Amino acid sequence: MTIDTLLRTVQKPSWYAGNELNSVVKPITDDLVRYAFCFPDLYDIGMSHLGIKILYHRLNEESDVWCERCFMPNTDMEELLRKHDMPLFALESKSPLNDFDFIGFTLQYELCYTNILAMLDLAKIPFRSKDRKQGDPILMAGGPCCCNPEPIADFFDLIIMGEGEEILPDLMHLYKECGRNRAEFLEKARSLKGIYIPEIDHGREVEKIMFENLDELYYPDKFVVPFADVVHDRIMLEIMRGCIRGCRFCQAGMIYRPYRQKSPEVLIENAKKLCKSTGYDEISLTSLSTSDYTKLETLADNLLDYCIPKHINLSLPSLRVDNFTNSLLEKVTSVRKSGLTFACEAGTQRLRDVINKNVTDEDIENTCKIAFEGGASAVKLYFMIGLPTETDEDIAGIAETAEKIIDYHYKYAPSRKGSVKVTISLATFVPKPHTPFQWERQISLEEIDRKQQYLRSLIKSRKITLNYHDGTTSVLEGVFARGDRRLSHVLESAYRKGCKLDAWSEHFNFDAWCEAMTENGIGFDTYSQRDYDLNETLPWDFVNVGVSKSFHLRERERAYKGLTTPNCLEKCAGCGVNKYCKGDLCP
Amino acid sequence: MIRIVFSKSSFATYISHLDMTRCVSRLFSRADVPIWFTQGFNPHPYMVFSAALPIGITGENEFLDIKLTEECDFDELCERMNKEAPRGLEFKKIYNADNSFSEIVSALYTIELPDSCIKSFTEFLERDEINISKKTKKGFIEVNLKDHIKYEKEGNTFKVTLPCGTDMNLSPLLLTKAFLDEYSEYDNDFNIIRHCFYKANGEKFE
Repeated sequence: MTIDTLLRTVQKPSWYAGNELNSVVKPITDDLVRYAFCFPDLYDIGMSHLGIKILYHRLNEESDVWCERCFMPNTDMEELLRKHDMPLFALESKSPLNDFDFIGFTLQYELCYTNILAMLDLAKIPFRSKDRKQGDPILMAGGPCCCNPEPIADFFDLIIMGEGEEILPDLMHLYKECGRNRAEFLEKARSLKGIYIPEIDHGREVEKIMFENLDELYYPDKFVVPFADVVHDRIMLEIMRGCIRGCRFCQAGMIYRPYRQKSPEVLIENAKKLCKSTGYDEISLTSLSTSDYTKLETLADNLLDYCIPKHINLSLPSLRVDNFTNSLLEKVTSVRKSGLTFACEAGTQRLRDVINKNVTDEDIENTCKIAFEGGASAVKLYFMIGLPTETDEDIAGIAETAEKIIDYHYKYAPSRKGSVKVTISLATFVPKPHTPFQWERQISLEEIDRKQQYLRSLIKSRKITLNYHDGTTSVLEGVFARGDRRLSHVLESAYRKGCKLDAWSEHFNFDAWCEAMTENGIGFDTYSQRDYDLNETLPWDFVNVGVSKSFHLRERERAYKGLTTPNCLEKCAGCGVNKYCKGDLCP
Repeated sequence: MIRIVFSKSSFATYISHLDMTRCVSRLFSRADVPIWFTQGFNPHPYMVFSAALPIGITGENEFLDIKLTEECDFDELCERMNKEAPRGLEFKKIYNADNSFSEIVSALYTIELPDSCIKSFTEFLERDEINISKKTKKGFIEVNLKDHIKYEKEGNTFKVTLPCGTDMNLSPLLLTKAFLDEYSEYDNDFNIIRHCFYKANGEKFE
């Protein structure tokens, strides 16, 4: 069967056909290093990811490197590949993955881990590093999950900690200097900052890679524009990295420190070039907390001057409720009206103080006032259950917060006509490495279920919609977030039992996962449903993301005392990253 | 109305009809085509395509009608658009048109087959009835393709005319799928091309 025949047979050929605008095709020569950038989930998720766009174009800037893409195939494609014994191929050249020098996976969430095995299996590449030899592709991983790489460490030859823009091309050239010799390359790569070789390194400290000046860092002037409908299909403009806030549950807020902003001048240049090369009709500002960008008004004004005549939409996700101004709202809605989304995370002031989400009831009221006076009628709220010290009172607080917002609508909406719609999105807290809550126990499935039902019973208004998933994926995420190398066997067993595409509820098979854990002597109490001892060596202690363990311990103590910590702009909390980057990067 | 004639082949055949709207609207933006936007709450570029080309089928003469906000040199515009077109999509001609796609009633296709299945396919086509079930807005309807199809065989290729209007639209994929469902020993190795559209009086639509 030819690839063309395959494409004519599958449901979504454009997920596999390549050839999208700005995709890169190069002639294959002996000189070329071939890199397959793999995203371990379906095309429409993977093509929404900014990291792949940056690294794809960065690698292809090198004349002797060709970076291609590969995604987890959907079940119909997977069946066809197996039926016809065809290996998984990269989109651009349609070459089988095992023809590549490198296969690089980006690990964005724990529930994609079985997809790595599925893709390797379809490509006929041995799973474990120890089983691969000279001539097999070198398997590397990067992305946020690598701040605890241990659950997947045995599968990878090389892991990159931190920001990969410049180390990736350096590694490609090192590989050529080593005469494409696998062992020599891995040995030499080991001495580079940010590189972890799981087969050799056990517990050797690895420092993350971080760039001080984002204005000088590579940013692509084109993106691959998919034909198919993908989740985020727009220009993503990364305005800053890191976050000043220090929410104690938030891994991203810790591992991407320090807070670094790009200048509006550079961003506007980036935006114009991207609009010209892609033809997109929407720009989205990307960061962990958009309203903390200090020159947001200047940036938004300048972008809108360019966007409005060209019918280009500007969207500002990740706004916070405590520094949301009237003129900002006008900017969000000036091209097209959209709903408002706020992450309150907890229902009472007490618990918000515990998690250091410095948002007050007054902030919520002020924001709602501005929003409702401006004509907004839909509000989406993010909350978490299972946070440390949480009681039923805090859960009741979630319902009360939603009800208060309905009252604010009555109070502030200019006309009584039209109704307000409040949507609560309820997630379950997963303790994550490199956060002040890294030692905390995760609540059990039964507790998740009880808390969800309790909240449901408290919601009386038909204007409030409550959304949540059952807790099974959260407890599994909890296991893998804080796990160690023993989990590689659980992963392999689960994959053999048919687990894959675990982030998709229609594919997720919790019973199979439980079986796989039991077979390998691992229970939920091994990792997630227990408090970690403050003195025990944690599986991820060797990864140095710049924020010190003593800071996390201090923050944990303050959490239990209900004390908040000011944000980085107000006062330095001494997280350690300032010393680490040897400069005056921090505000 | 400005009519654009384009062809869609090779990898571009995998772009679905829905995805074409997005793809072309971005292309117009890159090529600075002064396209007219609909007015109202959610302005979008005004575009009308002739009948959807099913995924995997090559189109030699497909049509797209748009409106412009300023006068343009059509040849120069066409060149600019081709510079921005993804591989497989080619703009052939732009002209002023005064008729509407509602005049189209049928389309001419060629179906090219691998040698191995010509005999089976010929027998299949010569049956009195080829009943298929077709999904419509009102649910599934049963259709005997033989009531609507005209065909001629030329070597490895069949020239097939099928209804392609607003009242009745039958995709050649219904025919090949019905064949493949019954003859599961063959893979989908058909090369299908849509060549042109016809009006009720038998004239070519342009």
